[in-house]
This record gives sequence, structure tokens and C-alpha cells, in this order.
Amino acid sequence: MIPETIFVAVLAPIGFAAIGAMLVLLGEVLLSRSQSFLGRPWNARLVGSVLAGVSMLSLLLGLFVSIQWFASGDVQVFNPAHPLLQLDRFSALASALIITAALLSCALATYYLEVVGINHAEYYALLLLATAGMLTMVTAIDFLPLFVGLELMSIPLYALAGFDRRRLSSNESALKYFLIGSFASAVLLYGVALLYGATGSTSFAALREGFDPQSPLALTGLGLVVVGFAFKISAVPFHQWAPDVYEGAPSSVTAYMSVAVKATGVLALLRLLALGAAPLGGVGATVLDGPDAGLLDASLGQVLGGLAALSMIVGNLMAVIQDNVKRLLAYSSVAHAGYLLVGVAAGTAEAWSAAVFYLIVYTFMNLGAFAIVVALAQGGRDCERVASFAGLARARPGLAALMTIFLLALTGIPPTAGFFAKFGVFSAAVNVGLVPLAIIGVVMSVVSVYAYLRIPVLMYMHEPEEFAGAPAQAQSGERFVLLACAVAVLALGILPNGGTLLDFSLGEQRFALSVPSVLDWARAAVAFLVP
Amino acid sequence: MLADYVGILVILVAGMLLVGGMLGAHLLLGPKRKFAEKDEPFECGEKPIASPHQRYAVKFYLVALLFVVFDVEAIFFYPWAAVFTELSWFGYGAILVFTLPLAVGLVYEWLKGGLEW
Repeated sequence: MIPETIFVAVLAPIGFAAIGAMLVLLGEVLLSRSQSFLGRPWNARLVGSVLAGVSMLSLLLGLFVSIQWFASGDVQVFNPAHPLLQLDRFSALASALIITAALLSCALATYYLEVVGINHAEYYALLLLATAGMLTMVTAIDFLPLFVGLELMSIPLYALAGFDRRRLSSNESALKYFLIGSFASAVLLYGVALLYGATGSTSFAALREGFDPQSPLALTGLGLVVVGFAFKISAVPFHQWAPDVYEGAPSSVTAYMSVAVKATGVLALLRLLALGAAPLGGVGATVLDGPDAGLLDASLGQVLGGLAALSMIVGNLMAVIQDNVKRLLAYSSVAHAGYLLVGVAAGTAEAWSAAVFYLIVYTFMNLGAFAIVVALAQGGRDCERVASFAGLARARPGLAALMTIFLLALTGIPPTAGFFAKFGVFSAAVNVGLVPLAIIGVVMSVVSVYAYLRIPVLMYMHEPEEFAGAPAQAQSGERFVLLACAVAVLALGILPNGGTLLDFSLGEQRFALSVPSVLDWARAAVAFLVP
Repeated sequence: MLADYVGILVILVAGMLLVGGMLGAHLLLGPKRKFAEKDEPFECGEKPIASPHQRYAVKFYLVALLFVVFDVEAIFFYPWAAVFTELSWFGYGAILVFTLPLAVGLVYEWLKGGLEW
């Protein structure tokens, strides 16, 4: 009954995030209570920065542990007698990616919250709690912690979507996200229940022996689980919530949601497929008669491939007709869910490393694009309309240049990392014979050029339609995020395999800027899943 | 495997038959006489004097929400208490890990003024 040994270190990244959230909550109430003793109110901006600092510190600790764990390559289960959570190379890289996204979102939010008048400490607490949920999901090797993590991720995000509670559209966003999100959770849970009925266990690995591809109970369960995941990563036809929710939620929340939830969903799905679905068709069963051995049963691969194709087509076509930047980026994120699913459906180690690499690149390019929207917020309002980007190159040349880089990356044009990300996924798909998917992906990337490059055209070739006062200065947090994302997108685009970017001597001092091989990280993480 | 669930099916069918039979028999055999007083909402034999759709303080909502949260959380203490001696210090540590975030939540809502009426 009492486990002989438990390895608390497995919980470290999750624990740091959760403890950080509690510290932020306690800090906020204690500070606001102490005002009456001090006799004067605290500087709201100072309090916000301090609490943002506390949350970033706890995230940094989690990031440090994840990186250490990834470097060491250890494999540890929290409770070996009943394996539920496992920290290994894959979950360590996944945790590091999610924590990085959370860190950048914290830095992005500090000034924005003040501009739109929602500078409350609960923002950071909710963000950290959602992060803890995501970390639980990517560490889970069993459906129970997966579901607990899913709820812990989703419920704070519902609240965050409605965080600007005086704005009607933010409320609408929260309500829609809550209704559809809880519906999706219920669908996933129903699938888990059916799989439990079919296999007698909630462990991912139990699907390996217990899953009978002929049994309607098991197939229905697997289908519902896939639907639940598709909702969370907003793949077509389960994407309808995304544009409304992304548009209404505060931009800093949308930035976080669009990258972190998608990363979590895809990474948890990879873990589930690696542990559970591999023997559906047997390791070595080919997907669609490709030359390379796929990991997925052909039918599951076809389902995921179908979702991928629909997402790419609908996401890119709908992005073309949007006149709101946040809706445009929402449909873009639907399309990117499609590109990611191409990698997942291809099912080889090569394809999965390409998908993980894609996620890393996507995190930076999408956060960067949203950071521009956040940095342009003025006077309590978001800069949402595509038309309001007209002539931005003259008013804010730096922001316009960075936005162009991020949009080129989202389109997939070299020398940005977006190109290598797409190239990796599509070439892996071609290698297993998924040529139709690769063709759809490339054609739709061409369509997306029109959707994305409208904005640079407006910024550089049009006159500003109205001059909304003196342009605000980007704040240090926003500058840091923009710079970090731009450097990552360019460095990974020029040197996806790592190497030395700059090497020069200044007097006696020798400077070298080398890029780590992120592609190798992705390969190492996936190599753990698919030896 | 599915045979294990036959009992549930039997209860389900028997329940539906029983309820359906009673309601059906009532519909078929019972006398039906309608008059104005009978169609009114029944409130302890008194005539309703106002519509029940009234506005009430949102504070009730907050209290109800907090009650549900803590009530549900407190239920987890009972199974722990039942096997307290067997789990000994490990169980004590585990329940502390469970209680601490709960206590933080309580302190937060208290200091935030959530318990003030």
C-alpha cells in the first residue's frame, strides 16, 4: 500500500510551477493587506513586476531542472509500483519547451496588463497553474494524470481568456472556450472510459497488449480520445472555437494559449501513440504502403492524415479572408496544427523529430507575431485590425521589420526557421509515401503567402490610414520577447543543425556565438520514444 | 467480458418497466378532472403571491461555490482517515501535500475578502 520508493524529482518542474502560483497568490493578498498598516498604497506597477519576477523565477527553476534532466538522459517514474508520471528525455524537452513559452508570456504580459487595465496578480497565478497542468500532461504515461493535467491546464485558461472581465468580447471568449473545452474534455474522458472497458487499464502501455483492433468498444474509445486531442490542438473539424476565443481573449493570453496548448496536445499525443498505438498494426507496419516503416496502424494514420489535410486546407483558406489580425493568427494556428499532424501521422522517428522541431520553431514564431500585436496595444485597446498595420514601417520601423520576419517564418520562407520546420515535416511524409499530404501542405503554404504577406505589404507600401498619436515605446519585457523570438527564428533558420554563427576577435577577446543543434535535441527526445 | 454487465442491464430494464408500468397504469386507469385551482403551482396549499424569478445577492453564489470546493475537497480526508494507521507517516506527508494548496486557497479567499458578507 505504501510505495517503497517515490522519486520526488519527477515532480520538480510541475511542483515549481504550482509552488510559484501559490506564492504569487499569497504575495498578492499579503501585499494588498499590508497597505492598511503602511498607510499608503503600494505602487501597482511595482507589485505587478515583483509578482511577475516571482513567477518567472519559479519557471526558471523548472526550466533548469528540465534541461539538466534532458542532458543527463535519466529515466525515472514517480512511483515505480504504479507508474503514472515519467520524466525522461522526451518529457524533459517537452517541459523545457512549455516552460520557455510560459516564461516568454510572463515577460510579454507585465506591461500589456497595465496598458489594458487588468494588472492583477491572479494573471500570473493562473498562468503558472495552467503551465503545471501542461507539464503534467507531457509527463503522463497514464490516462488518469493525463486527464488531471488536461483539466489543470484548461480551467485556468478559461479564466485567463475572460481575464479582461469588463470587455464583453473577453467574456464571450471565456464562455465559448469553457463550453467547448469542457465538452472536449468530456469526449476525451468518455474515450478513456471506453478504452478502460476494453483493456482493463488506464495505462498507455496497456493498449499495447489489450487493444483489439476488431473490437468496436476499443475503436470507439480510441476515436473519442483522438477527437479530444483534436479539439485541444484545434484541428479541423474541431477548430471552430479557436478564432472566437483567440480574438476575444487578451492578446498576451492568446499568445500563450496558441503555442503552449498546441505543443502540449501534440507532445502528449506523441507519447500516447508511442507507448500505446504502436502495436495496433505492429511496429514495422507501413503507413499507406510507404517504403519506410511507420509506427501507426494504417487506419489511425489515415485518420490523423485526414485531420491534417483538412486543417491545412481550411486553416489557410480561412486565414486569407480575415481582416482581424488575431483571427488571422487563429486560423494560421489551425493550419499549423495541420502541418504538425502531417508529422505525427507519418509516424516514423524522422517524422516525429521533425514535428517536435516544428513545435519548437512554431513556439518562437507564433509568440513573436503575437508579441507584435501586444506591443502595439495602446490606450487600453488591442491593435487588431489588419488595416491598422498600414504604414507601420514609418511609425515603428523596428516592429514592422520584426513582424515581417515572423510572418515570413510562419509562411515557411528561408532563411527563417519556418522553412526548415516545414521542409522536415513534408520530406518525412514523402519518405513514408504520404505524397498527397505533402502536396496539399505545399499548395496550402502557397495560399498562406497571400494571407500573411498582406500585412508586410500594408506596413511598407501603404500610407497610414490615421495617425493615432505618438507611437508608444515598446517596453523592456516586450523587447526581450521580440528579440528572443527573432533571434531564435533566424538562428534556427540559418543553422538548424547547430554550429557557429559568429566568430570574431576584438583585440585579445575572442567572441563566438554558437547555435545549439535544436534538431538534434528533437531527435534525441524522439529517439527515447521510438528507439 | 460484456457478460459481467448483464446485472446492470437487468436493473436498467426492470427499472424502466416498473416506472413505465406505474405511470402507464396511472394514465390508463386514473380519473382525470381538470379545474383552475389544480393547474396552479402548488405551494403548501397557499396561492403563490409573486413570481419565483427574482434577483438575489450574488454573494450567495460565491458562498455556494466556496462551499462546494471545500466540501468536495474535504471528502478526500475520510478515506485517508480510515486507513490512517496503515499509511502512518507516508500518508501523513501525502495529506499535508494535499492540504497545503487547500490552505493557501483558504488564506487567499479570506484575505481577499471572499468570506465577508
